Amino acid sequence: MARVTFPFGPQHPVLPEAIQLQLTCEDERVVEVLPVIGYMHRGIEKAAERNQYPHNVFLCERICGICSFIHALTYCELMEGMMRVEVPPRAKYLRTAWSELSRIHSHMLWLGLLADSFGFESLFMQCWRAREIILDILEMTTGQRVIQSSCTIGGVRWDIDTETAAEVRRRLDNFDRELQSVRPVFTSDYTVKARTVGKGILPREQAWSLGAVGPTLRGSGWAYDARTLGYAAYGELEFEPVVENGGDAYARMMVRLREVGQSVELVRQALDRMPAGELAVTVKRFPEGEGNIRVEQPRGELVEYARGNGTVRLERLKVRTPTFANIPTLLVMLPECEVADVPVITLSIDPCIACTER
Amino acid sequence: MGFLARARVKSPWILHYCTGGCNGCDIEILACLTPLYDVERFGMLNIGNPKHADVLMITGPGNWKNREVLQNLYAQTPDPKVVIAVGSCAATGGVFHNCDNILGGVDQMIPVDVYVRGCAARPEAIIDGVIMALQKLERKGSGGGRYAAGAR
Amino acid sequence: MQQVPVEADRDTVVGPEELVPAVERLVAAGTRLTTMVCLDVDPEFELIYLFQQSTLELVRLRVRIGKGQAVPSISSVLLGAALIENEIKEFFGVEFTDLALDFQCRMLMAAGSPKTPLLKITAESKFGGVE
Repeated sequence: MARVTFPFGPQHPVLPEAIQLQLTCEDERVVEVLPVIGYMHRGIEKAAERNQYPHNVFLCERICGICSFIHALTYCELMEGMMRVEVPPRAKYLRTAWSELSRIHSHMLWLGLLADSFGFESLFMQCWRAREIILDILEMTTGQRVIQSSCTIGGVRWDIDTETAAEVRRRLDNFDRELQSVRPVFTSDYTVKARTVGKGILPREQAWSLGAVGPTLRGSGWAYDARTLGYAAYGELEFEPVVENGGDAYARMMVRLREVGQSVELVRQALDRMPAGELAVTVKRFPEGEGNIRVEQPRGELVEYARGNGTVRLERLKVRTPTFANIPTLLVMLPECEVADVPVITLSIDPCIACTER
Repeated sequence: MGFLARARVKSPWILHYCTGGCNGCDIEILACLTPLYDVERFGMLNIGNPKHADVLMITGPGNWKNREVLQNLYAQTPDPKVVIAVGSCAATGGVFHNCDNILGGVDQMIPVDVYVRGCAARPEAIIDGVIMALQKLERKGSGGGRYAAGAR
Repeated sequence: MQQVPVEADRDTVVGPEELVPAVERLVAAGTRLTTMVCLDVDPEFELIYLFQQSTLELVRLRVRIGKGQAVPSISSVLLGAALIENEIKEFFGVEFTDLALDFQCRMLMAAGSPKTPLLKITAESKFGGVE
């Protein structure tokens, strides 16, 4: 059988962003895959050395527009840890609430895109309609829909007062109802199952050794969640990592679907237990020495490393984003699949190319 | 105005391509297609083939690797066409102005007709930008002056 | 549990030739690579290998090499390391021997992109030495 190599991307209807997969196929079967990245590379790590360190919050936020709040949170917590700044407890709870809201909006976005990738247009629309409720909450509490800029070094910029919190809870109830209406479609619909069950299997051992993180790892049976490290206020809230054992696209979808419910619960917990007090402390120091931090993003574990030299500019900021760790798993998942399943399997790791290439 | 020009403005098809932004504008463009904002009421459709497109929606500041891809897409789109640069970084480079792999805006790679402001651009602003682009597309399509088909 | 400041003197320092056996030992013990960080500390490069245990503990390995010296690639032990090593090769110009997947400095950069952008700019590197 003759082998044919053809490009998938960089411009492709399923991919909102630019990545190329060079697929080598025999007939309709994929035998080899080579990811070609670099279409979204900007060079943020260099710019982070050029900027003053407080300004990097805005730059880090724009590493990725989907999980922007969590990127800002990671950078802020890293700087605070290096400068040994204690953040007020209310700010920690607010950060937790916003990062969980970001997780919900990211997962709903992904669930919609997955449905779209196998042509289930109405499910895509339903997911995105439910997601708009979350974006409304974010806009109501921070003033922006996708890039919130509400996290700052030393605390947060905005408050959620009692009145707003009540409104947030009411909207979360609305969202819960919407979620209940789409959940059965994902769990039991014939089309969804036919396109996801048994596709892109990632065995448990390989998931670990290839460095998979986040839902991709948890879908292969590892209870590994960086939130259990207890950054922000996660140490004081109750939750368990969501684990599925299938290792296929369906298992990864179920992890994300269950995490949406978990995140709604975490937002409620954070709003309930939020203590009164200050929003931010003034930081009058410069980062010195080395620091590294791990934070759970919607797509997995985000690792940042920084070295400061006691001046206003950092010597180095290294960002290891979750998709960068998840891309090697495609080399295991894609071979031996059908060409028609390539979009579904590629999406099942929730690729965020803007993150990957920075 | 001829029949074709009128029909084109009533149902412009959009090709969306990201040249290295942060994704924020891309998800807002997708949000425009979904029930709350629903640009399909203007006859707009997001498609994947540049040869079917009338409107190019470009996000991101543009980088070296992407330049050729974007120029190919632009060349493949049939005339008359309009290009919308969505977001601050697509206009000038924005927050990425001092990143080293950046060309500094979509207009460094292809001619741009409409700039949409915002970081990230709001769906309302994007819809507004598309409507402005359609007025331009109408003038280009009706064959008058410097907006004649193919001429720039 | 989250320890942000890094106490550099508690990390293991290995030479380039002991790197691959050290990584093999770590992998056999069930750890995996999280990421690698390269730092340009003139006149050397410092490579930090971050490993992770399933209990979320971090283990750090440090390798110091002179500029122009090659480092053995660990991608034969851990395939996932190939992407990170390619990135470091592009950003700093560090040579890795036996890379499992070599993008030839075209992974993130294109032909027109700046070369080795993350190297520190000194008067010497910019103007070719000050007389």
